[in-house]
Amino acid sequence: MKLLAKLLLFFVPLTLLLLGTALFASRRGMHAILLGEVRDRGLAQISVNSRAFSAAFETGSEAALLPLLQSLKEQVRGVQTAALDGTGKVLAHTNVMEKSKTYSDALTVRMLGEELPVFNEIGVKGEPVLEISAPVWREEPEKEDFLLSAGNNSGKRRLGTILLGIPLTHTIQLQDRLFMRQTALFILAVGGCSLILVVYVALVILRPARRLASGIAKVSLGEYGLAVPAGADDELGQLTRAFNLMSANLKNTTVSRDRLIEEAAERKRVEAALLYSDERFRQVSERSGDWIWETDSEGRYTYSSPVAQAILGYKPEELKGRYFHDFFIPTEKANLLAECARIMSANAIFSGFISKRTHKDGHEVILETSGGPVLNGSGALAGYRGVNRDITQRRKLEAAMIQSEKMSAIGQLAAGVAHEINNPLGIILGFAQSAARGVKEGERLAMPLKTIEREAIRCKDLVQNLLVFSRSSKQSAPVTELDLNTAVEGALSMITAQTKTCNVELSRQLASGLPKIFFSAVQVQQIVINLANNSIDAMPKGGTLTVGTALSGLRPGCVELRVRDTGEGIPKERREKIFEPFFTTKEVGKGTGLGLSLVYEIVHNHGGVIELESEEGKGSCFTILLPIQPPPASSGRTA
Amino acid sequence: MTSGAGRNILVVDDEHGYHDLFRFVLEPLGFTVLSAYEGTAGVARFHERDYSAVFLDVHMPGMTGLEALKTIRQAKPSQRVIIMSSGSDPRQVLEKAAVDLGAADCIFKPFELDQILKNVENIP
Repeated sequence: MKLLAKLLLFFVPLTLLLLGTALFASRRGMHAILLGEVRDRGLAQISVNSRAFSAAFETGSEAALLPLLQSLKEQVRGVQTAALDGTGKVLAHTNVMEKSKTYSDALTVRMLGEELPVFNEIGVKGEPVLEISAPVWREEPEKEDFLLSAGNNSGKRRLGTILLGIPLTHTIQLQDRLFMRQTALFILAVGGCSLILVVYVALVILRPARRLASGIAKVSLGEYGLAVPAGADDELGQLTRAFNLMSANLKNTTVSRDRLIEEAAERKRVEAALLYSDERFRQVSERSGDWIWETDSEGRYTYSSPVAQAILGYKPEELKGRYFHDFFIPTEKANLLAECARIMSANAIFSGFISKRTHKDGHEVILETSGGPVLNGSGALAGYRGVNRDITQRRKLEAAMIQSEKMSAIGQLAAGVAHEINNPLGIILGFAQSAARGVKEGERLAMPLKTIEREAIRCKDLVQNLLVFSRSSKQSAPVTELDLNTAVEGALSMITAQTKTCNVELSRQLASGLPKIFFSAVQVQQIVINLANNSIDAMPKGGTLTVGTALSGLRPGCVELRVRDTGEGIPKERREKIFEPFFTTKEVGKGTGLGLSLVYEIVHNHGGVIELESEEGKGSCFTILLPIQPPPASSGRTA
Repeated sequence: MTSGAGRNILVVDDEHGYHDLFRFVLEPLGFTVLSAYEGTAGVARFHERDYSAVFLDVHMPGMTGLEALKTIRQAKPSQRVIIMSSGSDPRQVLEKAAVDLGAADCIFKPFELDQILKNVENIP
C-alpha cells in the first residue's frame, strides 16, 4: 500500500472524528445559546409582569390571573401559560382543559420546590416547547428585583408558580439552518486543510521519498556514485544525504570490485589459455610420431610421450628416472657419450644427433635427436627437452637406395667393361681353341693351350654374368606370364647333377595351384641356380637342399620361393654384405661375387623382397617374395 | 674336313685380331679371307668379288654392321651374311633385327671356334 494511501487512511477517519466532535460541540453550544435567548425572553416577560402576577396571586382568583396569563402568552407568543399554587393546583390556565387540575408529576414537584426558575424542554402536541416555571413572590416595596435576590428569600413568601411554555419549533429551525451552514463551512475548511496537507505531504515527504527510492533502485542496478538532491534538512534529507554518501562509497569500493572481477576474468582467460595450451601440447605429443622427452640436468628422463613405447618398447613410466644413455648400444656407447658431453657442454640447441639404442626386445633402433637445454627462472640449467625421431626405417631405405644406386653404377660399369673385354676375349678364345686343336695330345703346348682355352671360357662366363647383372639393373629381361613351379623345375634340372656329386639331397616342396606371375623364366632360373649353388657350396659335407614354392601367408598378393640348406649358415656380420656385388667368401677362382647381387637385383626390380634366416652351423633359408601382379616399373614386356 | 678351296670369306670388323683369327682358322681350310675394317670399306670390298660368307661386326665406326648388312642384302639378296656382336642380347633384339634384314646367323663374342666353322661349312 502506498504511503499516501496509508496517510489518507490515517487522516480521513481522524478528520472525520474531529469534524464530528466539532460539529457536535457546535450544535450543543448553538442549542444552548438559542435556548438561553428564548428563556431570557420568557423570564424577562415574566419579570416585567411580576408585580401584576404577585397582585393577582394575592387575590387567588382565576379572573385576575387568566388575563395576565393570556397577555404573557401573547407577549412571548407562547403555547400555554398557567398559574399554579404551592400544591400544584392549577389556579388559571390558558388551556381551559387544564383548569382546576392538580399537577403532581415529578417535574412539577421539582418546579414547585425550586426557588429559582426551572427550564424544561417538553413536547406539547408533538412540538418542542420550552417550559419555564417561575416562582411568584409577595412583592416587598424595598425589594425591587426579586430575581436578583432570589437566592436569599428567607423573608419572602411564595405565592405561586407561573408556568410558561414557549414553542421551540422556530428556534430549532434556526438552529438547524445555522448548523447546516456551519457544517458546510467546517467541511470546506477541513477539506481545504486536508488538501493542503495532502499536497504538502506529497511535496515534502513523498517526492523526496520517491526520488530516493528511484535512486536506490538505480544504485542497486549498478549506477554507483549516483547522488539524489537532498532537499530540506529534515530526516528525509538526512536519509538522502546518508544514501548519497553510501552511494559514493559504494562507487569507490565497487571500482575495486570491478577490477577484482576483471582480474578474475583475466585469470580465467589465462587458465583457459593454459588449459588449451596443455591440451594442445598433449595432443601434439601424443599424435606426433616422434618421441618427445624431457630430462633433468643429469640426463634422467622426467617425461616421455607415449610414442616412446612404440619406438623403444618402454612405457613412459618405465623410462622415468633412467638415463638416456642407458639405452645406447654397448658397442657405440663410449663414442656416443663423448659426443653427448660435447653437445651438453655447448649448452645450446642441437639437432641431428644420431644414436643407436637398444629396443626393449633387444633389436637396434636408430634415433635422431634434437633438443636443447631448459633453464629455470634464475637461468640455471634445469634439464633438457627435445625430440627423438626413429630413423631406423629411413636408414634402411637409405641403405637400400645406396645399395641400389651402387648396383646400378656397377651394372653400367660392368656392361661397358664387358663389351670391351668381349672383343679381346673372343680373339683369345678363338686362337686358343684353334691352337689347341692343332696340337696333338701329349705335346708340350697342349696343356698350356687347353688351360688358356678353359680360363678364357671362365672369363666369358664371368662377363656373361656381369652383362646379365647389368641388364637386370636396366630391367630389360623379357617378362612373360609364368608358372613359377615350371620355371623352378627347369632350374633344378640344371643343378641335379651337381647335387649328386656333392652328396646333397634335393627336396622339392612345390605348392600346386599357384597363380601365374609376370617374370622372366631365365631370371627365375638365375635366382634358383645362384641360390642353390650357394647352398651346395655351404654344405661341403653334404646335406639337404630344399626348394619350395607357396602362396605367401605373410604377404597377401605374393608368391614365395624358398631355398633352404642345412649348411654352415651365414655369420651375422656378413648378412648385410652378401648381396653386394663382388662380395664372396669362396676361394679365389670359385666365385665371382655376383650371384647373390644378381638375385637381389632381379628380385628388387620386380618389386619383390628377399628375406634371410640363418643360424650358424644349422643352415640358411632364403625366402623370396614375388608380387603376383607386376609392379608398374617393369612394364617392359613388349620391348 | 671342310674344304674352302676357291671360296672367299669377307670379314668386316674394326678389331684387327679377328681378321688374324679368321685367317688362322680358315686359310688352312682353303678359304680366302678378305678384310675390311669398317662398314663402308666392307661394302666396297663386297662388290669386288663373290663371297661364300660375309662376317659383319655390329659395332663399327662409320657405317654399322646392320647398315652394311642392309646394303649388301639389297645388292645381293642371296648373300650369306653372319652378324657378330661383342655385347650380349638376352632379348634377342639384335638377333631379330639381323634376321629380319636377312642375316644367316648372329654370333656373340667371345664365340667359340665351332660357331665360325658351322657358318662356313657345307656352303655351296
